[in-house]
Amino acid sequence: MKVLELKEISKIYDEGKPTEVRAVDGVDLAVSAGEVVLVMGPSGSGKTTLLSIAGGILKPTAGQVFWDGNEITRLSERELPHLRLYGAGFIFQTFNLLTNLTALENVALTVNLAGGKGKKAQEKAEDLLRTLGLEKRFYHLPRDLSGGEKQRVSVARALVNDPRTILADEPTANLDSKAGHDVAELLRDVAKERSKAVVVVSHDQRIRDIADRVLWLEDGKFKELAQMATDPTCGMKVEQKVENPHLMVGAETYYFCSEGCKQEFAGKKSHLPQNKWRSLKK
Amino acid sequence: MIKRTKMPSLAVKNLLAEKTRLLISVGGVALSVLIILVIISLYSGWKDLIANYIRSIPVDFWVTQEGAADMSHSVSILPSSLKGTLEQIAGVGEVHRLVGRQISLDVKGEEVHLRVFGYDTQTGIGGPPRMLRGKNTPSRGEIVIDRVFAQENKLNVDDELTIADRTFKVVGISDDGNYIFAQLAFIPIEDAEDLFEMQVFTNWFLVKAKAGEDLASLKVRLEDLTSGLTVSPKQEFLEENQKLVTETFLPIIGVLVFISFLVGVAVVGLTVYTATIEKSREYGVLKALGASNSYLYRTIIIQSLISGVLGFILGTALSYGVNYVAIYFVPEFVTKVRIPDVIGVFGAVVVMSIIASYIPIRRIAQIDPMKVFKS
Repeated sequence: MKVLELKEISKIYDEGKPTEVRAVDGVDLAVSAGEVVLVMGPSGSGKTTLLSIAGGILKPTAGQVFWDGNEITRLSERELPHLRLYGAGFIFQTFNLLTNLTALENVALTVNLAGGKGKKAQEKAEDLLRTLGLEKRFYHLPRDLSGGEKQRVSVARALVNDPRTILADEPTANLDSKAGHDVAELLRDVAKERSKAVVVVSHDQRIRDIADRVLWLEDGKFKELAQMATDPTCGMKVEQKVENPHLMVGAETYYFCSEGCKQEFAGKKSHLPQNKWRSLKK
Repeated sequence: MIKRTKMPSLAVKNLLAEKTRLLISVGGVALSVLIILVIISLYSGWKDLIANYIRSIPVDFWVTQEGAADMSHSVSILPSSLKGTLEQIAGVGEVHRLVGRQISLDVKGEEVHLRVFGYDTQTGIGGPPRMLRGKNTPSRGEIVIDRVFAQENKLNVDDELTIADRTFKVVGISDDGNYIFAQLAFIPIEDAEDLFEMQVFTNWFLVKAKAGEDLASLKVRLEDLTSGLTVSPKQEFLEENQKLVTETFLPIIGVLVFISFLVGVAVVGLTVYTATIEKSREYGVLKALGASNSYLYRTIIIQSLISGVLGFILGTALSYGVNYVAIYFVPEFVTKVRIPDVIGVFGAVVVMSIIASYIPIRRIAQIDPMKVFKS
């Protein structure tokens, strides 16, 4: 059985109004325990909306979300928060730790919210932080932690109530190379050793390295990654469409996420023969 | 070994993390409580002042001219001969005459007001409520004045006062005779008769029932005696005279207390609201993690209540201090802090804190947990 399953999910903002936006359009997704799924896509493609729907924060306009085979889309706004405490753990780009609470309190609070009390809650939080190598940071406030440590606290908070699904939004975006690599590995370990279904929204190559599957979301729909190219300037995945900024260098075509990246790439063309360049800019 | 301490709640942590804001919030409530308690205690104090003299006289009934039971707003004139008639009524133990009037006089070039009572110095009924120093029974040509009057006019025992061309020697200073706008003074009834030309008239008759007498039936008998009399049991007479304070000042006090209450609500509300706005992302995070709205509302209410209770403690302490110190500088500042009033103000602070939480709670209710995904 799939831990997380999304069927025909659509989300339309401002439906019926001139400002209507179809953020997610008929998306299907199924994630098993122990699997890391990476969702990539350009800005505004609906990744965060999809993650919020998968995590039961946002109600879809149409479609169904199942956690362990149980449909959560039927539940009321009143029932969902409690379910989230046990069903899904969230990891955010900016860590989102509570600034006035220590690392230990940040994690223990999540246990408290789920009904765990006093000493037991604290022990549970301590154990998890210890496992993540933060035993010397229990009583540090977030401002006294490094980016990597904050994200590990965030991972501990996501795991502490033992949810089956972990949803991470750009978890390495604010981290340096080493910390980003560590967090990527941590997410893989979380999936493999703790049998969690992990869905990560990211542009980070390091996440790509640990992902079991990589999905490309654009205009609210998943697309074949085979049709995607890598922007040689920023490394972002872009669709191989003639409408997108691109350059032909001899027989090879380069695709870019933006004109900026294309110009930057073109600016470095001096190392290539001048006659090789031909812009096909639309 | 890891130290294990009891973890304080998020509300307490957030509150203590912003000490300046906490100070403003607590200060605002304290100010509000201070104003409310001082006003209420002033009201209670004045209400008590008016009652002190009447309460101190050990009689059962005050007999006045009909409709003249309020000493501050009406003049009761009765024939002195009525005394004998009253004494004849079955069940009456004692009848005492009391003559008094508010007068203006010149003290050290300033016009001041005294409420002078002439009483029977043989029995002492109607005399000074509580002596502070000097003689408690004035002889002819002597006067006992109230502490506040003495203090304000820098008078003391052995000083002299001229009232309507008659000179009285101050022989005693009494307490509990401050009627706010005028203070009480006591002279022998014979001097009062001369001073006010009241030989054949009396302002009030003070009636004491015989021991074991049924007061209700005695009241009926007194009222049946003649028309044109008002017979007031002591408590009723006391309350009638307290109306000077209760009816005049109560509406004003009510408005002031209400404004102070609003000030408290506004200060707590504003500080809790700004704290909520500042932490709205964190509340969004909590929502996303799965915190229920009731948990978040509770966090806000606890913050508001802590500010309120701390402000209440500080404000109450300050009001005791202000009341204690102020009386040395302003003799009229007679206050009485009553425990039921303090409990009432505490209740008001709790209500204040809950009302103050309303807008921040509404703000929290509107926070979209989706915003936490935006960096």
